[in-house]
Amino acid sequence: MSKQNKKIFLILAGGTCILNDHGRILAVQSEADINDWLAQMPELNILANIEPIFVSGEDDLLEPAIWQKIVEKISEKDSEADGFVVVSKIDQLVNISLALSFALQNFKKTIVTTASQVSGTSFIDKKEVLSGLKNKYGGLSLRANLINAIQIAQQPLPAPAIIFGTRLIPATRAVADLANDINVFSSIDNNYWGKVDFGINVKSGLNYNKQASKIYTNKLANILIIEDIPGLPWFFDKKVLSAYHGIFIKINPYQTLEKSKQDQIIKWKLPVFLYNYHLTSPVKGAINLSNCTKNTAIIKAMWALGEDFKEKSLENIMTQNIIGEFLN
Amino acid sequence: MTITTLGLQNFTLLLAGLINLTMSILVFSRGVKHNKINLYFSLLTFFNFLWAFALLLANIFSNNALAEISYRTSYLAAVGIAVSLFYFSLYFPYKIKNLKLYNNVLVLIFSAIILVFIYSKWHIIFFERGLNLSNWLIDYYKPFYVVYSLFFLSLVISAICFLVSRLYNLESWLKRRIKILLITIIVGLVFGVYFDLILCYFGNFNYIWFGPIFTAFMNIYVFYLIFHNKEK
Repeated sequence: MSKQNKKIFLILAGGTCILNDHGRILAVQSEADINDWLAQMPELNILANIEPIFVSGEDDLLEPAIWQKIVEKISEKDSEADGFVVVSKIDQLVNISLALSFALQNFKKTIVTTASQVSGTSFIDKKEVLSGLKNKYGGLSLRANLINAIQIAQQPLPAPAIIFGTRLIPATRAVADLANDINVFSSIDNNYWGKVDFGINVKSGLNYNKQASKIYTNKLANILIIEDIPGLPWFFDKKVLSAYHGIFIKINPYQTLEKSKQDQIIKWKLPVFLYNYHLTSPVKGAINLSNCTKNTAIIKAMWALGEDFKEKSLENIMTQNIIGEFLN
Repeated sequence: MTITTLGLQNFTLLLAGLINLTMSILVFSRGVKHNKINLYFSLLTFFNFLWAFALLLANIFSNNALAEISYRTSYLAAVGIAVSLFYFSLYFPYKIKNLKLYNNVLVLIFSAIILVFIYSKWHIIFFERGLNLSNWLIDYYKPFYVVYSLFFLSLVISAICFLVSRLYNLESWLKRRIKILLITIIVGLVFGVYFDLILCYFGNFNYIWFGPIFTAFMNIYVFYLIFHNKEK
């Protein structure tokens, strides 16, 4: 009964806001803040042997380079860890979880991501939001999310997942749920890996891949992301386009892309990804993506362009179901 | 159809037993390997079932010796309830304490000793049933009964304290869940202790059938927690 606690690495990259006893925001801005921050949640160290790793501060810009740093830290600590909990900003949580999913394929240790309801340490601009959350929910959700995340990180999961509120969602299925206050993310196909009902209930019979882990550490490629509106022309400066490795365009499902736009795609001589969740009509020179979330398609494109797949074409990689990203 | 008092008593005990057995199987089937909450709640409801079922058998067996064994088993079930509740409270909704090995050994050794005494003359000196519960004649060895009651109460009060201690610093939706479950557990304990521990000490066995049904509230709430969400 009295077993040694499992070792969980707590990776901090923003999204660390909690309210202290006086109702003030407490967040991790630098490594020096970690002890005070953890002292507000003493129960975490009872749940597991927690080892925090600082990656970026609450007010730092969270960019793909930081996601890459998280991947490096996780692969570095793989042999010592029983699991990983990544805390990051709520608005980037899906992207980070997806970046981890593509970079750390068939990873044998559980990776769970979570966040606070708000991000950033400035109090004034968030005063109303904070008091609303405090009155309605008694906090910023991070404490409960972390308690759940640390418990889930000690159980096997097939791939990185998000725990927020009462839902455990695979990264490839996660979308923002604006209608729900406690569960700000939902699964696009209403399929969850677990829920917090009467304790944490991780679904049985999840599909575990027994293949060896593959870790990809190349930098994610820069891609230009645009949303097409039929009838509105595209104007891009050549210089602007040269800064990108590819172009991602969200198109409409039931209208063919105008001829002028199709010609532009050929002229760009850059990898172009056309995305719509439902369906996309084929366009010469572009790779069509559907039946997956928009964030999944974007992060997969960034990952695929960043890696050097000599043996396979980009189109092959993009249309292959690599981490179960395409919905059945 | 005439419903006799005895029929009502037995039906109530059977109903309480079945509710708890169903919940025990349901929670156990959700998985106990990685989930101590499921494990201890499943044990808790199993012992609730055993408590109700043992009292039912004590009521319906025609053989006095078998009835006595069943009645003694209801005290064994109560120890099981207290121990399961104690461990459950350490884990619900998250682990609050790492008990030292000697704490665990102490609880288990003490439970084992009490369980042995339950089936001896140190517990029940004389057992004789009448036609109905008001005519039951059970003579307890009072010092052991007091030790038993103190052990039982110390475990359940500790469990309640552990659950109450979680009500601070948590988000309100989680706090609300703990609070409601806590209330339902307290209701079950208060009525269970009153009808099946305190009244029995004073030789009143009229209401021993009434205690187990109060565990239904706890089961209903857990059932709600598990099934109110329609997500797959």
